[in-house]
Amino acid sequence: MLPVPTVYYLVLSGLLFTTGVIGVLVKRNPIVIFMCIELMLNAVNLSFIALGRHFAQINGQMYVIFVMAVAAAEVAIGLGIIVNLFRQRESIDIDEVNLMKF
Amino acid sequence: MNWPLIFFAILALLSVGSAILVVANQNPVRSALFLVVNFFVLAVFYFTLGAEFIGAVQIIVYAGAIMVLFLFVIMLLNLGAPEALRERGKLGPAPAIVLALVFLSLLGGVGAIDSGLRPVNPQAATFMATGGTPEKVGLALFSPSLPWLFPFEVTSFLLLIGVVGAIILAKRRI
Amino acid sequence: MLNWVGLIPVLPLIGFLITAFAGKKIGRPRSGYLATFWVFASFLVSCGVLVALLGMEGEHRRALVSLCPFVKDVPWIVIGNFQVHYQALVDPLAMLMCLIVTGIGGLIHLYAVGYMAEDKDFPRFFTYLNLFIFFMLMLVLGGNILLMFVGWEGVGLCSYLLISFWFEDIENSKAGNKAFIVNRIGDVGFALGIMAIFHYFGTLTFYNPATLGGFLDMASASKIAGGVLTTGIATTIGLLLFVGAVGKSAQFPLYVWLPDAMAGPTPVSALIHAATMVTAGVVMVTRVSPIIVQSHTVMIVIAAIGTFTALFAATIALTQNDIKKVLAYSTVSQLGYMFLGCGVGAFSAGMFHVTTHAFFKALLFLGAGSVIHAMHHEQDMRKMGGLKKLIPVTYFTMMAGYLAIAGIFPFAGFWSKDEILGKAYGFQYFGIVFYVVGVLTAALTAFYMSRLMWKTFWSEKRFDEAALGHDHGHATHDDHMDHADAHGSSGDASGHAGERAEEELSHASSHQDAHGGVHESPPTMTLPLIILAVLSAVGGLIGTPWFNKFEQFLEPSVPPVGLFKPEEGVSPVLGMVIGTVAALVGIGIAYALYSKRRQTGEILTPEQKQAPTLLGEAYRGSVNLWGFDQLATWLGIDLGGSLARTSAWIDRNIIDGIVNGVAGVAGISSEVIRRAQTGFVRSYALVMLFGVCLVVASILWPIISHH
Repeated sequence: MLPVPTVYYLVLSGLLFTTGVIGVLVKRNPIVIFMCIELMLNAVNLSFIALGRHFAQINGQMYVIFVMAVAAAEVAIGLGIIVNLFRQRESIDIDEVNLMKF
Repeated sequence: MNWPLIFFAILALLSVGSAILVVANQNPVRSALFLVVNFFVLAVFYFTLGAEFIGAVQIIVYAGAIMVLFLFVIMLLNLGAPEALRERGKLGPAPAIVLALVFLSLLGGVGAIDSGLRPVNPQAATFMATGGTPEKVGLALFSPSLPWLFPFEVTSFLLLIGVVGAIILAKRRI
Repeated sequence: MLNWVGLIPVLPLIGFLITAFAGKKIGRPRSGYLATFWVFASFLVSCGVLVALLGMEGEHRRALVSLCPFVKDVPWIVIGNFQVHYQALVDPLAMLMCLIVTGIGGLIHLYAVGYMAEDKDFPRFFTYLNLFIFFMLMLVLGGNILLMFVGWEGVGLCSYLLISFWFEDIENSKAGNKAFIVNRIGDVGFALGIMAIFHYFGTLTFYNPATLGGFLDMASASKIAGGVLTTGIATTIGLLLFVGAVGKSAQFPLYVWLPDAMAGPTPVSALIHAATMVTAGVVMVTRVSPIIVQSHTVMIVIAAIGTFTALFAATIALTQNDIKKVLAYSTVSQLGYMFLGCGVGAFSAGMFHVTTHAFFKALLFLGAGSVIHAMHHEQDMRKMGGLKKLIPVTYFTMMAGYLAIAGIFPFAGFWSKDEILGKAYGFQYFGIVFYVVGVLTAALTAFYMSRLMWKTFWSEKRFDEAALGHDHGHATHDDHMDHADAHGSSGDASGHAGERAEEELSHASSHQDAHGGVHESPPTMTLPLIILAVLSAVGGLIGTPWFNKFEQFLEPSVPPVGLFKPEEGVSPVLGMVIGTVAALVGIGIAYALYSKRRQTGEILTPEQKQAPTLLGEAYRGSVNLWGFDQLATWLGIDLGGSLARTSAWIDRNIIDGIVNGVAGVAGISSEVIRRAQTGFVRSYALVMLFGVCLVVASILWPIISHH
């Protein structure tokens, strides 16, 4: 028997993920939205590792490595975009980036 | 006394709390810092789960590189318009209610999730003890017989693209 | 010799091409003589082909020959099963019509050289005439019904061109339009009939002596492609084709164009609207007779419409004052007789009447043309009279035509009309009714023709010769420069030198008329009259009941048994007696009435014409064509016009509206949907979340529901 059952990790992961989702939907600063996306990714990482332990496989950790790599690249590009956006206009309120409307 | 469980509970509270505070804050710098806290807690979780390498990588990459990048950008943008970065208005009660609802339903669904999972692999405990070492991770990553070599190489390419893209996006003049 | 049949239509075509491109250069009257030459050449070739045909055995006198003299077979349209070859059907019916068309056509060409001598559009006239002969020959020679239809349409076209020959006067143009349009209505029926034939028989060729695969071969054996020829099919095809015949041959109700067609020059009226084009309907009905005889309904319809038309037109002819209109209605009436003959199954009698009618009606028209020419284009009979001594050649030849049409022994019309009536008597359905009406119409015919002769020739002169030439019936005919040449060089047949001199002095007219007054026509005009008079006199003798060479000749072309029972028909002698009595009654009444009124030439006084009595009503009704022309005009223009306008409205508003509506719906719905593109990133995120939830739920659901 495992000291902490896997299911608790999954519940925790779900909570963190939900928090991240709420943050993405509610916040208006794009940088903070990005941070909430990172929060979501980390929640999933936790889930992967917990299940990897549950099934005694190394695959869980493999996935996590790749997720982290991709997240890093994504953050770099995303922040580049945000910097550009700020150069175009003074505010980076995401609600004001709405030129692609009908 | 199930010390691992108590330890887990404390850490869980910490991580959830810091996550909520990331979302609830109006100041982006504070949000970033709370996120760093969250990452640290997660790294500890990884250590308890036996994934030492991953835990270390989490601290190095996430807390050490990505969050630094975030803070750099916040700092850059702060120079132009300090007030522009603040969030307008506080959060209402709605997100908290939603979160509470989700938490409760997840708690209630613990039994269901548990029964939905396939049974624990008997070697899980030994895995926890020995399976997360850098040696094991390296063997898994670089063995030709396993499927992880190719994605590894492709990921390096992806990172290259990320670098190039970031430079192009952020430069003032090409 | 049979292989040269292709030359028959080609020769007039060559004439057409030459006159079309070089007519003006060749000049008149040479271009006219050249055109006439081609038609007579075609006549000679027809004679040759006829001789070759007679060389074949009686029952097998039918040959499908390529229309190209040197080429064995010229395929025209070959699309799978639909095979139409450029072929001629050489059989007695075809050759008979060839001879009529080219022979009488040639005579009329010759006449026209004199008649149109002073017209400024002389070469164009002969261009159209030659083209007409070509198309008419294609019609009668065609080996399949599609070639016949080509000729059919072509003669309709030439009819239009020739009726509106003097098109500067808008009324002539309108008459041409009317002719073409009414014809077209019939052509719709014809075209549908052709399609029906192809649908049921799978071929359009009339006869194929080698394979017996022509549709008439099949119909004679009561077969269609893969089945039996039922009465229903025969009725359908027969009625559709008959609609075409009604249009082309001016039967009720599509006759309204023929009287208006008199706006064309008289040679046109003679050729097209008396001798050839209008008989095309009869020829077509005779040609497809194997199908028609299989449906009693169609036969009755044909006979009924023919008889009714005969009577109807005769009643109108009673009161017409224009000499050409009388003859026009007379033509409609005689065509009714021909259809009566076909309707009762006496196809050879019908064709016999076609032949004799071609002789005497062409003669009458040409004679009328001569009269009109002599009267300087006066056509109203009320202004004629006393011409018997003034234009004797015309008079005597017209007498021959008059006696023929009235049906006096032994002239041509007598034999053919009595043959038809006799066979009608024995008709299975209402034979007696048709017979009585036919006899009545014969009496009326005799009456109105006598009336015409009285008013024109026998009554007293009602015009002032000195004043002639100032009133012209035609607005555009004013070039008299060559008039002197045509008359002076060929000699004046009646030698009115004295009168000419007199008129020269007293004529103070704007045109240099070298001789005014009434004078006989030149030989180019009188020669054809004389030839036709001879034919009208003796031409009927090949069809007498005791010596019916004509019927014998035509046998391979017509079905053997009609719906008349020969033994129940009126015996020939009795029939002849009744016919002659009817004619004499008509002539006698006319004599009695007109001889007392030699001066006025009118039976009814103007008061009587206006009076509300039965006689007055009858007179006015007849003069007004029984209101039918107005009805047809109203139907076509008012009703048809409002129908067309309604359709246009429906098309614009409803159909286009539907199409535009569909586009509009697309536009409106897209207006609604595009509001989803808010541009707000957060709303996009929310929608994405919903989507993700849906996907997850759909994945988890089967797993959860297992528990």
